[in-house]
Amino acid sequence: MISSTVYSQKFFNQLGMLKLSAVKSFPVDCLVKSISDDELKDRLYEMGIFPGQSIRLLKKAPFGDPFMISVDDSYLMLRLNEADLISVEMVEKS
Amino acid sequence: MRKIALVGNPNVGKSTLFNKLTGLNQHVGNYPGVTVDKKYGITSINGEKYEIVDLPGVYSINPKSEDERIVYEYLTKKSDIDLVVVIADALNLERNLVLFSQIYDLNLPIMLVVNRIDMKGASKIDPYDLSRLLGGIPVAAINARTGDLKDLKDQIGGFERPDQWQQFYTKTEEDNYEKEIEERFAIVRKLLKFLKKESKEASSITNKLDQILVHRFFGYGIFIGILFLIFQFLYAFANVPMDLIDSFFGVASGFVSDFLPAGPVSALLAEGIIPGIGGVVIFIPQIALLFLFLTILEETGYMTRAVFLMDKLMRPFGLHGKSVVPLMSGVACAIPGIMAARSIDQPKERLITILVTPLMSCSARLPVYILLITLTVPDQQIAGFINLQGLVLLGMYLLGLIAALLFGMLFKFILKTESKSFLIMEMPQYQVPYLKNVLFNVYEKSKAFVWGAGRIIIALSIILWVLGSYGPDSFGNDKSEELISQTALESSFIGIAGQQIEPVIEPLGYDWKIGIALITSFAAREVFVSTMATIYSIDNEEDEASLLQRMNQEVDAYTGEKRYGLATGISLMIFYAFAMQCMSTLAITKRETKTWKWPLIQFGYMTTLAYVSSLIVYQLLA
Repeated sequence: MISSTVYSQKFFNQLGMLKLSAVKSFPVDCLVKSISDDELKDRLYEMGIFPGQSIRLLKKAPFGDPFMISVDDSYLMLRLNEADLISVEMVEKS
Repeated sequence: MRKIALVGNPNVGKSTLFNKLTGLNQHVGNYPGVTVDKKYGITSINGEKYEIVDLPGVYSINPKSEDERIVYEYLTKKSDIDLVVVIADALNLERNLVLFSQIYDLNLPIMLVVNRIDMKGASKIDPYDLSRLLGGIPVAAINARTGDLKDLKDQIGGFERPDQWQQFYTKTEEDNYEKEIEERFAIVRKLLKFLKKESKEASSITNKLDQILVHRFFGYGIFIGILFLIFQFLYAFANVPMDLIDSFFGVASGFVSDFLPAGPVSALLAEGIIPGIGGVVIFIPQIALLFLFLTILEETGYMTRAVFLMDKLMRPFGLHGKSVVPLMSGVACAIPGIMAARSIDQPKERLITILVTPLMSCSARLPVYILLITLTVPDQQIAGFINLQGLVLLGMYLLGLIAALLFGMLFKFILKTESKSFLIMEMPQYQVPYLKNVLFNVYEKSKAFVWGAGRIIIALSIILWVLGSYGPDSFGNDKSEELISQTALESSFIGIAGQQIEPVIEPLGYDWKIGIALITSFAAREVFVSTMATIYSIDNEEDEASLLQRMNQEVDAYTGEKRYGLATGISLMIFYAFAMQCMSTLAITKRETKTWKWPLIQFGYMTTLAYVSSLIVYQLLA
């Protein structure tokens, strides 16, 4: 399992996957690869953010935090701390 | 009476449906031990009466937050629910049906309502098809705002549980909660595949508006502009009814004291009860207007964009993006501000917002500032064009803001919380506000203030009146009428208390007369001016010029210097800026936090801050 040492690395989690918090370009489509263990993990799952789901990073707030993303048909805002828990793979725009 | 529980995600129009079903026939109560209000109402369906409980909006019934705990416990522990109505948003059916599947698996009598069925981008759902897919449970498709609810009402009225009932998802030994959610999403997705789906392009307007409204420059400009407009309207429109209310209660008092035989009863009515009620009613225009604007911002979906812009800036101060609104309201009046903090989901950030909002300089402090500035700050220009008096006034407002932010920071470190702070918030699509919801919210907030805080305020007004009208001598043999007239203030309990505290307040530069004013100001800060007028025996309270002259002539008995010099003036203004001298605010903090602990802490920290800072300032300046 992924341990809490993910926090020691800024851009990638332990398995070398890109964190959503490190994604610089937007808007961009992403495929969720994993969610780090955290007390917010359940909450993210309930909002439809879990491995295999595609999400879209739409915007960052003017000071770089929070993030605006879309999941299915809904728009969500989450803080950098939450985006840190989400590992993604960027999808080339078709 | 049959009982219906209304459950759904936040922002799906649950309250709209609840308002539409119950009208004004709704009540607010408490769930035991929590701060969330319990909303319930009565509706009549096909001649039969139903009690509807509007449960808090949740994304799941896995009890993590207070709201989820309430919903979970209500659904699993109450055995007398006749029907659970799950309301889902046609704009986001997938996630909404995941919640539905969780509740369905509790094996309760259940039906599904799909809202916003005719919105652009909504899933085109045939209720009959969906009902069949869900094993025969009733499904109604509605638009809670515009459409009629006859179909929904018929289905509720004729509700029967389907014979067959098959669990959506059965938990196996090795499945954890995450696995369960993934499975539920997969099942719901499979179900939805059978239904025709409209191509979605609804959010284009939302996308376009977001380009401007959360833009790095325009976004903040528009936000500041909106706040500016709200407070302009608040001042412009609230003042007229407030003056009317003020003079109405003034006339009523005068009428009572003129026509009732003079005596304790007449005085209690004219000087205690009627002004007490007046002191509650006078806040209603501000509360109603502020919530009119706030609900419109909330309903349109703009409020979440303001959170998006402000969250990062507010966080170092222990506050939330949504704290901006309560703090700004605090400039008009802390009471609606504290009530507005309810929209903050995070318990800790909400509490900090409630605790620091009264530090913002409210409009009741303005008459005090103006009197003291005119009296003690020289009317001169700095650098040729800046008016010193105006600068000091601006300084008082900034002082309030800085104190609020610094204490927010302090509370952030002191207060402990069970859960860590996070922000995962849905940003609804922009929509036109629904007038009925707006008016309901205004009505509900005003009512909550009158019933929740009004009783405490009236009770305290009467106690203050008794203490200000009677003294130890009142209980002697000659209970003359003079003792209940205002000239007796100095020999009343409050007057004596004011004299008793003189040694304590002397280091701040105050005498016993100011001491009396400090105590009476607890009813409301602006009472300072009228108390001063009473103490200096000015017959006409409105005549500030003569009060100014009297106060200006006042001389310190020992030093022979002017009583109201610059040092005393500044010290007193700082005391009024920081001290918790507003029982209405304490009453509303009690109502919002549901305990006396926080109003007492608020009173303690603010008054200590006031005392210490005034002491330092006076000792430095004198």
